[in-house]
Order: sequence, then structure tokens, then C-alpha cells
Amino acid sequence: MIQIQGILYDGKNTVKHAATLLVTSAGQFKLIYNNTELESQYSQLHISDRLAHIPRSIAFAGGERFMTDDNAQIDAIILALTGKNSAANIVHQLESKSHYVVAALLLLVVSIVFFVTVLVPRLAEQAAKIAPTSLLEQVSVDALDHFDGRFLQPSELPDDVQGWLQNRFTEMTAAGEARYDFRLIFRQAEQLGPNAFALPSGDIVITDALVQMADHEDEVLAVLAHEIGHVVKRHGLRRLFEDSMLAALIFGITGDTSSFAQTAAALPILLISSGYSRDFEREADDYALALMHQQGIKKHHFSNILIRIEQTNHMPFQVPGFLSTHPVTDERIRQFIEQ
Amino acid sequence: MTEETIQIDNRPAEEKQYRFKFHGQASEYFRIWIVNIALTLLTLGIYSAWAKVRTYRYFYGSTSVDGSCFEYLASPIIILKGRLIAVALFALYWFISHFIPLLIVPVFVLFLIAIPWIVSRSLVFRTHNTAWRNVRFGFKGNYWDVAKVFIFWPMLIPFTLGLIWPFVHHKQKQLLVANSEFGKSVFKFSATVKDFYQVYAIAFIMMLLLPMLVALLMSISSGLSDLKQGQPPSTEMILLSSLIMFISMTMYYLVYVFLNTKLLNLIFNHSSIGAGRLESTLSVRRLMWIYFTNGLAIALSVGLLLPWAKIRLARYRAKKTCLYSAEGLHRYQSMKGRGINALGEETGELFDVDLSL
Repeated sequence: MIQIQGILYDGKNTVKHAATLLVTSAGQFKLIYNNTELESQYSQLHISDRLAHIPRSIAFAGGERFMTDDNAQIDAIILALTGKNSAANIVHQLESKSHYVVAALLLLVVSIVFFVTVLVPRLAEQAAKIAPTSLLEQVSVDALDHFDGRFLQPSELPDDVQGWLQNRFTEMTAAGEARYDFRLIFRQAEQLGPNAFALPSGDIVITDALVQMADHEDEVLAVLAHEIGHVVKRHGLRRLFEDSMLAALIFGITGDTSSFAQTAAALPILLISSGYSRDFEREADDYALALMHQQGIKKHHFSNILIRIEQTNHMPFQVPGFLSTHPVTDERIRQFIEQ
Repeated sequence: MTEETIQIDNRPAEEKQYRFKFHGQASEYFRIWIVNIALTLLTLGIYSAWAKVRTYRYFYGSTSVDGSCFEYLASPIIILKGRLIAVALFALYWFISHFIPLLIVPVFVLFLIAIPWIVSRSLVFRTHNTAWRNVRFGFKGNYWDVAKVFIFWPMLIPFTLGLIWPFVHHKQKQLLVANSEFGKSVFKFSATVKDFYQVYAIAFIMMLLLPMLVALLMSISSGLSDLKQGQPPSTEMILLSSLIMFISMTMYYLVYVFLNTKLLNLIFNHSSIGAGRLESTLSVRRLMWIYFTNGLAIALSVGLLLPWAKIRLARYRAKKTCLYSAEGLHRYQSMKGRGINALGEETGELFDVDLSL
């Protein structure tokens, strides 16, 4: 015979009744309160699952509810009567044993790292590969309009320079992928310094400062080859897919992003994912190498202009969203010098 | 204390204070949280419904008033069903918007028509699955009540330059509170539209003053940049402008916290249930501090202090909430004089969606 102290609420009102629950080894439950006795079989009761320290409730068929803090005794009764832990009690076991908690923590870390470094880039790559070209245009269509007038002004380059570059650009793109609607766009942009970026649809924007900085025409073409690489490898779309998948992951972990506090938890994920753009640069570099070789452009032109851009020490400008950034690293330059 | 003595004595009886208490522990909740995440990952999201129930049960079960804790009684299966339906509908919407764009308008109208139904269903679900002392809460608002305050009134916002919003917000909160039930008792809501406009007016003035402050800071910084005209921005300049950014963002966040806190206090202080009236005395400064340090702790701990932050916030909220009643908290009657089980069977399965209202 086990005896448990608790409080009974009869379900009619909010009056508290001090109550005692007696349980026989045969599974007969007897509740005593206010000179009343309530009897029941174990099978007719509903006992709430164990959850940390919170009080347990035992619901009787007539609507009465017995509540007690004595979790240990209740667990002992269930174990004695059924011979096993219920499914939720297994969850309680996981929560109460430190090694399971550590295992759960490890699983979380491994999953996040796997998701962010393997799954997201692969899925984004596959999704971008099968995406129709109409989608590429859709994501680019307003981008140029948005930038024009904000930090892009009409180019002040002489017409003959523009014309020559346009011709060479057409030759370069004609040799490669016909699926894209390549356009070379000249713009003046003080904040961007010497820079170039590609929109997923095939629009490639190059700043006057970059053209002026070049010592040789082929240096500009090398940069354009790199940007064509971004378009052909669909980096803009991949970035978009990656960002949305990461947003979904962050949402999944934090529950909702309504508070500043919860968004802060996303910080490490964003840090890991900043490595993505470096992989894209490497891919675009490889593409540029092949294209330059095909067009008879010497490799060192690319490394020369990269080094010069780096030497201007221009503040690395973070272009938001699907435009790619160009971190200049020794490793990238070496590729174009040594080979 | 018998019925007669109260009726004979016409003077208002002495009100007794019943404080809310929160007994949750960060160490305990951390374990629940991490196991929830691990099992959700392992089951590819299916467990999330069970995880939600465990989390709610923990927070409800750790909150008590007059020595009795709250209970969350929702069935995870029903929550899972609700989530699956929501995911299916979202996928359908995505499919239609991408492949049958002609249908997007009728689908949008259908969705608009469904919103009040979804909102009222989920309010019924949430309140009905909350109980205290074996008496369930409830929500009696119907489709049209919800449609009026969540669809119709908000439609007028653009035509009134947003000036109607405090009124709409008041109507929404009134709907939520005045249609909530605890057993046979219905909540009363006594906050006026004027009260809401007052809080919004102060927040609005703060919003007006902020740009002036930011402009002042900007003019100081541009004065500095004039000295070095023609040169690329220096590190100090970048630091200064990011500092201004940070300060103005913090300021706007302050206004946001101010508005939320003052409105929450207003709503609680004008809500009553039977002979009991609620009181909330949350402090904007204290909450601001809690939010700020919580955010910092979470960021620095790579998210691991998230459970600690949630527990800390819940503890503060409970500490600043209380119930006053002159006749004690033992006089609430349950609906139809029956307990949780009977009612649960009768109401049958309900549709749950996650909403934060």
C-alpha cells in the first residue's frame, strides 16, 4: 500500500480539497477527501506524463483531478503496475540523464554543421541547376533599376572604349553558354570603387574606376570572364537558395524571430555560411581561367588587376543579397601567376 | 466565511493579493529544450508537436497562483495535424503562385475568408487546453467578431493614414479578453480607446524626437568628415557611423519595448475575471535590460543560453503579475459542472495553428 498526499479539484469549481491517495499492489486506487472516498481501477485513470518537477495530475473518470508534487511515488506506482516506462517517460529519462543531454547537444552541433556546410550548398546547387531561366530573370529584373540612381550613375567612359569592350565581351560570351542573355553595362559608382558584379540573368555591371585602373585591355576582359563565370555557375540563384534555407533553419531553431534575443542565436550560422562566397569566387576563377585560355588572354592579366584592386585598399563593400563579393586572397592570385 | 456575511456587509471587502509565481529552472528547461531539438531532428520534424506540448506544459506547470499551477492539456497529435495542414496549404499556395498565376487572386480571397476561421479556431484550441484547478479556459468569439477586428477594421488603416490603428488594436484586444472564459466566468475588459491612444501618443512623440537626435549625431559626424574631404573614409569614420546606426537602432527598439510593455500593463490592469482583477507592473527599464542582456548572453553562448533567457523572462513576468480578489479564488464554477475529461471528449478534435496575437 502506497500513500500519496496531494490536492483534489472536483471539476465543479476551484475549491481546493486536501486529499490522500492510497494505492494497493493490485492496482486499486482509493482517494480520500472531505470524508468522501473515490475508488478506481488503474485502467480507468489518466495519469499525466512525467515532466521535470511540475506537479502530476491523475484524472478520474468522473472528472475529478488529483494533483501531487510526489513525482517519484507516481513513477514507482506506474512501474509496479505496468512493469515498464511509458513512451513519455523515456523522454523524461533522456532529459534527466546528463550523458543523454550531452549526446543531444552533440547531435545538434553535428547536424547544424552538416546542414550548413554540406546539405545547404549541395541542395542549392542542384536546385539552381534545374531552375528555369525565367526564374533567373525574375530575381534580377528589378535589381538594376533598384541600384541605378542609388549608387550607380551613368558611365563617363569614352564611347570608343565602351564599344571595344562591348565587342570583345560579345565574342567571349558567344563562345560559351548560349542559354544566357549576357549584357555588359557600364556604370559610374564612387562608393563601389573599382568593382564589377553579375546579376543572375546575365547582366554584368562594371564600374568606370575598374576600367580606368587597368593597365591593359585584357585585364578588364579577365574580370569580365570571372563575372561570366558567376552567371554560368548560377551563383546568384544558389546564394538566394542558400540564404532562404538558412533562414528556414534559423527559424526552426529559434522558434520565431520576433525578438532580438532569439535572432542573436543565428549569429554562429551566419558566420559559418560566410565561407560560401569564397567557394563561389574559386569556381568563377576556374571558369575565368578556362575562358581566358580559350580567348588567348594571358593569365597574369587577372592576377595583376586583382593585386592592384587590393592595393587601392578600398573598403570592402558588402553588396547585399545575391550579388557576390570579391575577397582578394593570395591563394587566388597565385593560381593565375604560377600556372 | 459564508455567503450571508458577504451579502449583509455592503462595504467593499478587503482585497487580497495573489501573486503569480514561476518555479521553472534554467538547468531543467535546458534539458527539455535540447532533447526536444534532438528528437525533432531525428524524426525530421514530426516530434516538433510533442516538443511544443512539453515546452508549454513545462512553462504552464511552473507558473502558479495561490499555490495551484496551470496545466496545458493539448494533444500533440492534433497539433501535428494542424501543422501538416498548414504545410500542405503553404505548398499549394507556392505551387499555384508559380505555375497557375491566374488563380492567385481567387486563392488570396479564399485565404482572406479563411483567416477569421483559423484565428478563432486556434484561440478556442489554445484557451480550451489551458486549465487551472481542473477548470478549463475558453473562447466564445465567433467568426464575424474575429473578421470584424482582424480583417475589416485593419482595411481602413491606409485610408486614415494609420491614425485608426490604436482604435483597431483596442478592438482586437477587447475581442481577445472579453471573449475569454474561465469556467462559467467571462473576462471583462475595461480599457478604453482613449487609454490606447494615450500610450500610442507617447510612443509617437518618442519616435518624432528620435530622428532629431539621430540628425544631430549625423551633423556632428559630417562636420568631422568635412575636415578630411576628398579622402576615402577612415576607420574612425566607419566606426562612428556604425555607432550612430547602433544607437538609433537601440532607440527604436526602446520605443518598441516601451509600447509593448505599456500596452501589456494597460490590458492586464483593465482585465478582470469574476471577483478577481489582474494587475501587471512590468517596468520598461527592467525589461529593456533583460532583453539586452538576454540577447548578449545568447549571442556569446552560441544560442546555448536561450533556455536560460526564456526562464529569466518568464520569472520576471510572473513576479510582476498578480490577481486581487476580495472573495478568494475558490468560487469559480466550471462549465456545466464537469471536469477536464468530459469536456475534452465533447468538444472533439480542434484545429491548431501557431499564432502569436
